[in-house]
Amino acid sequence: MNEIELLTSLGDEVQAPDQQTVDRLRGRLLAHIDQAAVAEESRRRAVRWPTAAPRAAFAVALDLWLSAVARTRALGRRWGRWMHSRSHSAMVVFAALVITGSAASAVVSLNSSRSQPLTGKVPGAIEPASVAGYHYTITVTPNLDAGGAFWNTFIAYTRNHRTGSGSNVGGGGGSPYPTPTNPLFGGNLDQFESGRVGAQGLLGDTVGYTLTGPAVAAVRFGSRTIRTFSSPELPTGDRAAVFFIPQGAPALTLDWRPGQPIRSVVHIPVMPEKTAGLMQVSMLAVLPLDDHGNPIATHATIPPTPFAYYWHAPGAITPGTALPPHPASHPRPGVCQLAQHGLRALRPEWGTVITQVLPAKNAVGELFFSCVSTEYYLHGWPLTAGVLVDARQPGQVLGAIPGARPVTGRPGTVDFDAGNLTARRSGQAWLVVRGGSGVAQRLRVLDALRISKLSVHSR
Amino acid sequence: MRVAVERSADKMAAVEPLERLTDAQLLAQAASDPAAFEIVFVRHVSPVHRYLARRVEPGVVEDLVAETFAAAFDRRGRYRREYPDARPWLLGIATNLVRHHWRSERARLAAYARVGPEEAIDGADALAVGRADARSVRNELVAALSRLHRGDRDALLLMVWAELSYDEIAQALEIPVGTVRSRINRARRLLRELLDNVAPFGQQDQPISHERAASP
Repeated sequence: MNEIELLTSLGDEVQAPDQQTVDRLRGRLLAHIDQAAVAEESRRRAVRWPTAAPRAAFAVALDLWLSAVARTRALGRRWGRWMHSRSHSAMVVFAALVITGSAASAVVSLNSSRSQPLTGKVPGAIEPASVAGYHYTITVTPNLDAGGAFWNTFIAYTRNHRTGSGSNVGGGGGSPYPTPTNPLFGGNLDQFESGRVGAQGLLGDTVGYTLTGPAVAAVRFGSRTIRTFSSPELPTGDRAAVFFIPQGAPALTLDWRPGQPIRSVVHIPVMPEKTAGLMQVSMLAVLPLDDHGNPIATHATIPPTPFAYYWHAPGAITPGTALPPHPASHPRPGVCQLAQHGLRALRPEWGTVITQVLPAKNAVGELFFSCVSTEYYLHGWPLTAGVLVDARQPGQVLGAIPGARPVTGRPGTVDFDAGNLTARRSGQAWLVVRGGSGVAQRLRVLDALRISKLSVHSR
Repeated sequence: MRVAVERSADKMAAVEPLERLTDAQLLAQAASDPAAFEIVFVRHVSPVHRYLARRVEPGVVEDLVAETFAAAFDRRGRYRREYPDARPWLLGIATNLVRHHWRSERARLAAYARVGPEEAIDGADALAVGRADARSVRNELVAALSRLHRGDRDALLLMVWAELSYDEIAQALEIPVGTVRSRINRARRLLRELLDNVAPFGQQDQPISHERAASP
């Protein structure tokens, strides 16, 4: 045997990878691809550092140096040397300022506090009528109802892994999605629950949060400034601010507009079963701040909404809550269609189709748009299926679903357990199934569904 | 079936199944459609895995395979379109990663030396003696391999364990094909010299048997 044959015989001892290994590797690759997409989007949307501040700092440093040189000549050699070294120190300080950021950014950094994370624990001990001591988890999921482009936000309070309470909010206050002039959206502020507004009526701290567009560095309400943060659990490019609200604090509102008072009092009708009349509520505006700590001027924008056609199967077990008069019994042709094959127990109950997609061109941050949705029923479980496309450029390939992780052994399929949804990539869209008994059932439903029509394109 | 899509068309039109595209075409498409990269992964994960399993310890193989494809995905925009087959490129990335795992490579080579025809050592028959010789040769081969210059070893092992031709090795290591020839010749000569003291080779100068190694 020569050296090549010897080496070949050594190498022949190694076996090809088994299918499980390949599946694991595929899952890791898909996770990397999703992370890369998130990072790329973040880079693309990163707020450019204003060049004016470093330039100004450099100019000041240059002036200092020139004046020091002049004074060296005037004051004599020894005194001048000291001054010269002092000017160098000043230059170092200014250079540090240039490197680490401008004085404007220091306003946000020094006078603000860090946001709480998306998952954490409310301070305090557990007691009745309070969420103190509970764990909280904030999840953000795409809307699946056809015709709407917004993010659903949900906060769940749990104790010993049992849900104590929660609030499901579609859009929350502010706008349905962030725009340059309306960057606050989602969250649990601006909520008027039965006889209670914000933290009022609750003992102990509660959790407040809002989602923001990429340009919001912090939010301010009263004397508190909370820095925002980005996360893979959030829509790409978007940010969040999470904070604890003490008992009895004013209700926070995102709908502030320039010229309006920061603090106000509103009268809200209470629920009939409570004391009749109006409840007086103190309101405090939440202001979005830019990198310099300046409030971002906001004005209301009304997003385009396509007309949605609702249908309802005769004898549906889980009818929709808002039935229009005389709904169709079958879905009419739309820009997107779902088809079912196999899994005969899966029954379509009702749903919505749209005949045109109106791109949300002014949206910033990742935004999905559902172009068809159907409510199914399987073995006692309701499940919602929807087809998501890019809301800004509907023909583009969609980015990652926030918080979703690849499903091992199923390329292109992701699951978001906390969001109760499972999705499969299909061309430039996501086919998403939400609800059901768990991921196994959602995967079965996904296997039985396909997108039979996807007539959307970039303009 | 996944298809390449023509985005300029008014409607999304099926053009050609992704599976029929070359690696170069897939990598070009992967710039806008990451799903295309998955086909490249499916095509080449097995040879990349086998190559790395031959070169580093089992414990790090999977990580390096994952790193190889992750790096390839990140660099997909820089892939040279004149090469339709991406296997040499992927193996080149894998080889570069191995260079950062020299300890693991050395441990893998040591494992080759440990794992041999153990049962033959105690035997007294002629076959057992032959196996003992084979083991001795094997140990020397492994020791000689670890003494090779890194570049020479990479070129030689890409040829023998990854079954790349000279041209493909040149593509993988981004060096001229003449350099590949000289590196492989140098490596073979050194191996022969180091092994001469252990067991004489029969026909040492026989040409390499597999045809991929023939360079035009």
